[in-house]
Amino acid sequence: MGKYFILFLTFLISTPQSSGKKPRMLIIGDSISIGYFPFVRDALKDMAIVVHNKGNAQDTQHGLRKIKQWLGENRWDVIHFNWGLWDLCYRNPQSEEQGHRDKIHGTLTATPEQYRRNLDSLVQILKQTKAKLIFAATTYVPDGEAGRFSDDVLKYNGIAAQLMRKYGIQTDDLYTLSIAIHGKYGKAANNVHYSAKGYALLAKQVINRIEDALDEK
Amino acid sequence: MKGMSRRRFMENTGLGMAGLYLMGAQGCSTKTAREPNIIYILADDLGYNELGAYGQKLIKTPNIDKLAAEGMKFTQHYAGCPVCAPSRCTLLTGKDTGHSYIRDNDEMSERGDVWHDPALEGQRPLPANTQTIGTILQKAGYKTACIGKWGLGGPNSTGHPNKQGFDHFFGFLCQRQAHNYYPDHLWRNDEKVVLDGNKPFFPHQKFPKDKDPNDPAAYEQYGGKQYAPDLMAEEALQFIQENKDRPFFLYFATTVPHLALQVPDDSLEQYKDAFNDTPYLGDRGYLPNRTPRATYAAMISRMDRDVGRMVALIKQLGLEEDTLIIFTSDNGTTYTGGVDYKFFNSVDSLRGLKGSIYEGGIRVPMIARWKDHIKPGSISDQISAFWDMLPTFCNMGGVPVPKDTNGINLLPTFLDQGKKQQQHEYLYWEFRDYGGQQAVRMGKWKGVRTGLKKKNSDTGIQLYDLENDLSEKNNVAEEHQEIVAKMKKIMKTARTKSKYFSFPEIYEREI
Repeated sequence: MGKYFILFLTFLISTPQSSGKKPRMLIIGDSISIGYFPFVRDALKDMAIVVHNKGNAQDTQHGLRKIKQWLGENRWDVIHFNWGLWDLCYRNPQSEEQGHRDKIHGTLTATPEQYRRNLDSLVQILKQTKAKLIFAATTYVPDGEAGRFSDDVLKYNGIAAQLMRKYGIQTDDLYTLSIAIHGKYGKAANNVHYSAKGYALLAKQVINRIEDALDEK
Repeated sequence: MKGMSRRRFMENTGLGMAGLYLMGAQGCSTKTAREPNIIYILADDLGYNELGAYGQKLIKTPNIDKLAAEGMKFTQHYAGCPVCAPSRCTLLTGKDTGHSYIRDNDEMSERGDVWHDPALEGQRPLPANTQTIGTILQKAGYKTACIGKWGLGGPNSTGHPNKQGFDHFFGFLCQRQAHNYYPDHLWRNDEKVVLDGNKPFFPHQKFPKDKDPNDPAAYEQYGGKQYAPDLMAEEALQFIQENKDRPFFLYFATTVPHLALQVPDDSLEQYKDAFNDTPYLGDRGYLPNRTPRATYAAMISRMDRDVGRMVALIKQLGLEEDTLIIFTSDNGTTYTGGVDYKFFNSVDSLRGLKGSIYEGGIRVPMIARWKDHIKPGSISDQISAFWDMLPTFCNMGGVPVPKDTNGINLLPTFLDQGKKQQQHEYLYWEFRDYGGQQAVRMGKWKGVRTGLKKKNSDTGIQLYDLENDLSEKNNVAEEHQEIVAKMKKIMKTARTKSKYFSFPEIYEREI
């Protein structure tokens, strides 16, 4: 009995070790990445361990509070990360929209300057992991959205692009792809989310970018 | 060669040295000079008051409204004709219906049962060697595409878009086929693209008597897997992507919001329970719909989203300063098929709807946006029409304007050089259908003749002062005989005879 127990223990201990040889990758992001994450994880399950940060990464301010916790003591080989949709969202406690979104009377979560500063700090923290970093561009916002302006995505992605150039980090242009697929696979004309098929399409591009990154490793 | 035509464009637009200096100052060192792209978006039966920017309160069009906020809104722009095909013909050939080749929707029923025989697609085709905006811009070095509804010639006809100046075509060649948003096929150039999951069905049906009109499942038979406007929007985005490095002309002729009332569920969500809907059972044509008001609004909002995606892509590609985007409609709101134009106040106080030569049938919204060229948030009351697009686009492409157009170059208005803007002496319409009608717009005056094909009707000129009587309620012909005399002369001379669209009543009936 004891013998078997020890064997079982050995198995328990050895499993993470043997799979520890697999590259480990972390996806950080909001509901968009939560949407495509399962497709990425399942597609890469033989090649890598793919984890999403716990919960929703929300805006950069929230990210700064949580990032150490999300990274933990783990080794990370690839980190695919995004902040943006929450930063550029206007919210108003009085609004009855989901998440109290309100771009008419609400306040902006993070100004472009705050976004730049916060994202810069986050990148510096991420760089310490030695992981290969990929920034995922923020996805499309239709102008009918209650709390977000369509053009702000360009503005915030522009800021992110400058930062990524500065740090030599690649960008996964999910934005251009999202424009293309939002018509058929967007949840609605006033909604930033996607149907399962839409998330699968976003995931496909993410998977390609991660595979490239793993090849380079 | 390219530099040449760019320079010619500058001269034509009066930008000249100041324009060149500005471009230099903006640090365009990475960009080479180029002719501007043109994206011309044509809605189908969208009325004058159906966009937020024009006063619509119930239907949400945030992306198009933004286009207006970033560009110029025209308040006196006219479609070529109050129905689809002839309107499109005036647009593409730069000729009013007194001179254009196609002057009515002509299904060519002499071929057989055109409404039921799928082999008889298409309307009367444009003849070979027609000069169109497409052929002209092709010669100017543009890549040209028509995506959406064509209506000027079916498969294998002389009117096929590939033979009429368009390098690429995707969508409905035939207007009748476009009555169903879930067709079993579309056309990409000569290739029939079968749409999996869309079963063929006749787009004019009455709701079955043995089913419950309040049961959503009973309407599933009028749906399908692939919604044509979605496919068209994707094709358009792809065309823009593929041609981002060269001048292109995209004629995006969406079928929205033409009947039938059909939209995917995800778009209905936005208007769920918003309008106190009662089912439309198909008794006035096209397809039954459980929530006709919500569906109509959702169709327009979904199209609005697609416009937003195109603009977003143009911005993302850095082509905003190099791309003129126009949004307009081919005629007024429809009067049938479950569309509640009263509820939506679709043409506001204008008289008439689709089919009518009164303002409600032909006055259409037009928005023009071109960053750094057209002043944001501007409004123009320039009297203009579909046939002005050809000369305008010729000037943008740096090629000479054909002499036989009825149009004028609108670039001076776009560029806020109003004093240089040439004016129309008059605008002319004739339309043998819906009773037989004729109209002239001259300054503030509008002359109208109706009932020309009806027996015992009064066909004399009605005269309206649009400045004081936009609703065309007070016929002031008796008080202004001198204007009526001018109108009479125009109505008799402003046209050529048409081979297929004869209209002798114009001369024969009392004027």
